[in-house]
Amino acid sequence: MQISQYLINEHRECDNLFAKAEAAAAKGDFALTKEEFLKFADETLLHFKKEEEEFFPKFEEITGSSDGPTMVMKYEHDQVRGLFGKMAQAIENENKDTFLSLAESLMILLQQHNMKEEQMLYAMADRVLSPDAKEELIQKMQETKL
Amino acid sequence: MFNNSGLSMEQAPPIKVVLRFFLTGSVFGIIAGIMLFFSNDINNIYSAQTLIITHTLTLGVMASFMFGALFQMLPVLAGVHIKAPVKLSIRINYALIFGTLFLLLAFYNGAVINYIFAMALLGFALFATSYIMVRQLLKIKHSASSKGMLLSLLTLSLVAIFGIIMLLERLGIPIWLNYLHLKEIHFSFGVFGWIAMLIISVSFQVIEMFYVTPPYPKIYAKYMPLALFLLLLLNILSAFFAPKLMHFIQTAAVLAVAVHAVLTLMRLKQKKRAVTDATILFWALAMVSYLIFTATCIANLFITVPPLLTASFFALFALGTVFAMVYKIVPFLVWFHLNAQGYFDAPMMHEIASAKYARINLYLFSSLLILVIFTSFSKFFCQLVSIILIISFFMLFYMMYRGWHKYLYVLKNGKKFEFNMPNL
Ligand SMILES: [Fe+2]
Ligand SMILES: [Fe+2]
Repeated sequence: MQISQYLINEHRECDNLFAKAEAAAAKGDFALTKEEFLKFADETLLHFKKEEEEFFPKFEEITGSSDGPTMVMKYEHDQVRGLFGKMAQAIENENKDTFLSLAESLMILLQQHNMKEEQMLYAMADRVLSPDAKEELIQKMQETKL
Repeated sequence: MFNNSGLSMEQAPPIKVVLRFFLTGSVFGIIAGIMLFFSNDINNIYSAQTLIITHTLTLGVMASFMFGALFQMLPVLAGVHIKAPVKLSIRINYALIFGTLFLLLAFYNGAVINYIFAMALLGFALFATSYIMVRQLLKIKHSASSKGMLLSLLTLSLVAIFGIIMLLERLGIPIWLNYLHLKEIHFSFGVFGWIAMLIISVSFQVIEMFYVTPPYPKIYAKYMPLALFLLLLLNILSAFFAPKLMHFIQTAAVLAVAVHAVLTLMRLKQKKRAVTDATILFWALAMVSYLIFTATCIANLFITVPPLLTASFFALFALGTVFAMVYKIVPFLVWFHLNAQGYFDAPMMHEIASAKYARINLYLFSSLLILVIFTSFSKFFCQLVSIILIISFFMLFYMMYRGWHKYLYVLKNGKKFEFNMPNL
């Protein structure tokens, strides 16, 4: 399997979970929002962990630098994590407008982040890594737990 | 290795780079509305008034918004490096503003000096932007979107070249081409090459991303910008060798973009996000306007359709896209830049543009789809359209102005937290 295939699938899965959480919030059902939001946040944080612990180190090995693109990507992960905190708070306060507004910002942030990963980092890893190295990396990512 | 491959991870330019162009664009929108209100000769496509209003819209409004969007999108989404964006944007912004004003004056009074200033300033604004962005775009690995942007910037310089040749002709310098054909080429490159192609490229990038829709068909996205570009080149060739074919080629270009409008509407309909905000509807309105524009072009093959009607629907297509983008991008950028600098109380998107505010602007704008139908027949409707246009652009301007003020306020008074984000 290609690295991009594996990780892009996760991006799409997160998008789907996000859409469900947002739909619940739009209806004003906060119990459901909480449930769906936690699923989305867990899935996203697990994906970040896979990238930060397995994919980025491998990528840094390829490019020989750890203060380039991966640093920007990690910084953006932190921005997303920060938003998760605020969104969880908005759910606790049952504040629909705030939640939806944060959700909007999160979506744009996350989408442009994913786009950069897909078009640049994943694509490059696919080009450079050997099939065996790819299998090994995917194996490790599959074993990663939150 | 990463650098050698020409990829970079540029971050967003300062917010003022983008806002400068967007604010300029909305002021020109208001000016266009005021001129439309007092116009009395815009049914005649050869009148000075028509020329003045179209160039206010294409240069003052569209070029401003499109340059702003490119300054933002190229680094962030395509990984294109633009050196010293603040300085560059100021120069281009002023050259575009004054170049446009001189051109409008030149159309108004025909003074040679105005033509000369217009050519120099607009020449600089359009060629410099096109050259700098194209040069950087050539270095990256392309997506369908960035390829389209590259082609539309190339077309922009062709639009400018043909425009300048026509201005020279107006100054009495003889040219080798039939003036009317030249005008057709200038027009088709501007409308389908620069404006429509850029809108297509931008939508490749943002429709899927903002609304979580299925992507555009891969093959379509890959070849569409190039196909459109080749059609336009063919149009030039036919101007020289087979002028009768120009009409068919232009109709083909109209239809090609109509395919895009249909595909975009289909994608919007399949969006996964449950919330339908004003910006989605602005996109949809823009695409519907384009399809009506297409219908008027087709009808025009058999009967005479008032040119004002056709032009109005194209304008609504272009302007609808502008509103769709600006209502999304500006509130996001205000939040994003403050949040990225660690301000904890960065205003959220709905505090810059509330859902209600954007909706009101949307309803106003959508009334234009009906009202423009009557503008060719009635002065009253023409004035009504101009008033709605003025209010719409004022609302857009005010939203950005307030966003900018909130931005400055938080910069000055906001609490800054160390960038150590709490975990869930
Ligand atoms: Fe990531
Ligand atoms: Fe990712």
